[in-house]
Amino acid sequence: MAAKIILGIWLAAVIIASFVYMSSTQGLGETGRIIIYHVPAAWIAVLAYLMATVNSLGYLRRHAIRLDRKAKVSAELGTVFCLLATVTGAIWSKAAWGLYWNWDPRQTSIVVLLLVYGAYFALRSSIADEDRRARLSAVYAIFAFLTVPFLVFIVPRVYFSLHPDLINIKERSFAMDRKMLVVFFSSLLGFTGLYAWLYNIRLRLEKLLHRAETRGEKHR
Amino acid sequence: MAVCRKDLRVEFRTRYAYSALLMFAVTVMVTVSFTVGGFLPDSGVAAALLWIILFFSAMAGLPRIFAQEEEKGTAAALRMAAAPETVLMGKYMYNAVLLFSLAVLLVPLFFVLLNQSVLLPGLFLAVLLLGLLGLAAVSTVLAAIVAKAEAKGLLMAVLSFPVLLPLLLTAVKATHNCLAGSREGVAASMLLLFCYDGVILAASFLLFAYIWDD
Amino acid sequence: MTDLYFVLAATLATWLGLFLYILRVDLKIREAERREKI
Repeated sequence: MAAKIILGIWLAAVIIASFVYMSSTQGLGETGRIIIYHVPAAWIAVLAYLMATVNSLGYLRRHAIRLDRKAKVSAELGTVFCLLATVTGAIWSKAAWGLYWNWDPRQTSIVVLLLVYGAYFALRSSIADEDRRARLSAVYAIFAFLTVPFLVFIVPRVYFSLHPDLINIKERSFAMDRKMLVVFFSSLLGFTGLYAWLYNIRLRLEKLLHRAETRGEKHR
Repeated sequence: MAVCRKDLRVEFRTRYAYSALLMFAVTVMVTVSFTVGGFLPDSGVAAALLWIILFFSAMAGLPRIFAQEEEKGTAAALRMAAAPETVLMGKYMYNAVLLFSLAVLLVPLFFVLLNQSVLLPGLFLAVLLLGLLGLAAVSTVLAAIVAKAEAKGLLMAVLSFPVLLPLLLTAVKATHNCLAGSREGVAASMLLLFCYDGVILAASFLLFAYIWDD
Repeated sequence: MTDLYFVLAATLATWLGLFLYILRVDLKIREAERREKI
């Protein structure tokens, strides 16, 4: 319990620090502050997908429905953080460069992840049988995961050549000064903590719902 | 192999799936040409259009390959008769053949209607080949998944797009270069497509059993 | 400068609201779990 309160205060502190303690970013001004939220969100979105994939693999090997539950929960949270990352990215892009969308490699990648999440849930919602749903969505999650490394190589090259006059946005090219680094890493830690907490809650909720369902069936 | 032959034989008799696929592709091609042709698309845009059309044609035409089995009730017999990998290979080859036959008719149409010329024909064909192999591979595996779900048609495209994105991006870029006559990056693209195809096929083999066995 | 403080206040308020909401959900689930055990 105490840990959660600490988390709450921690992130509140991060928020305050990102505006007050940290000086405005060089090169990108005040809008650059959004990096404190945008990057950790994207990082968590990827982490969540990684967890979902691992759990999917586990499910296929061991056939334990609880692993499918874990995969689903990570994916759900991943989608939320992914949306957050996409939106903050677009806001930042608009504020800093005037366009909501600019085909920057990273912006494209985060949207692809969003599409993968969307596809995953579209698949899940179209299968009624629990075991089949778990099996097929696990296979899909793994497949989609395998194609991601390719994108890492392709996207920067393709989009740069397609839009040679694009403002080449290198988010990491501006150096983060000491203060910013501190706030950034604190935010990363905080976001991870938040994810862990949300994951825990969501998983417990799923378990309760699952138990209630199976109990309801037994009573029939 | 026998699975592929069986499917081809069945298909040849009725030609239902193939003609539907062909008609769809031609319709899309014509629609695109009528609407975009007037703007005299350059090789880049044309390359993109070609692959978009191929993508959606595959989405429309290929899922039936597994759905057919489920519908006609031959699925159980197939399960007993052959190992999962064999089934996969057969279906894959069938899909590949289907796509190649489609391309044979569609690509000339593409050149004519969109007024394109290809300056590096050999490489263009190589890229096309690698791309279609990948498209067939992904379509086969995902068709198997979708066969067990509802709302097949829409689901197919939704699932396929993120997975196919590396292939589509690379193929479009390489095709664009081939049309325009520049060798730049084509070898790298082909290597990437080759690796991609390999990864997809390998993963399909490893995971197919989980999809196929009920 | 005041624009910045406005965004800060908005963000902070959002976070605190979110935090309290999640905490409430957590406690409710704990309640439900306790009931299960009984």
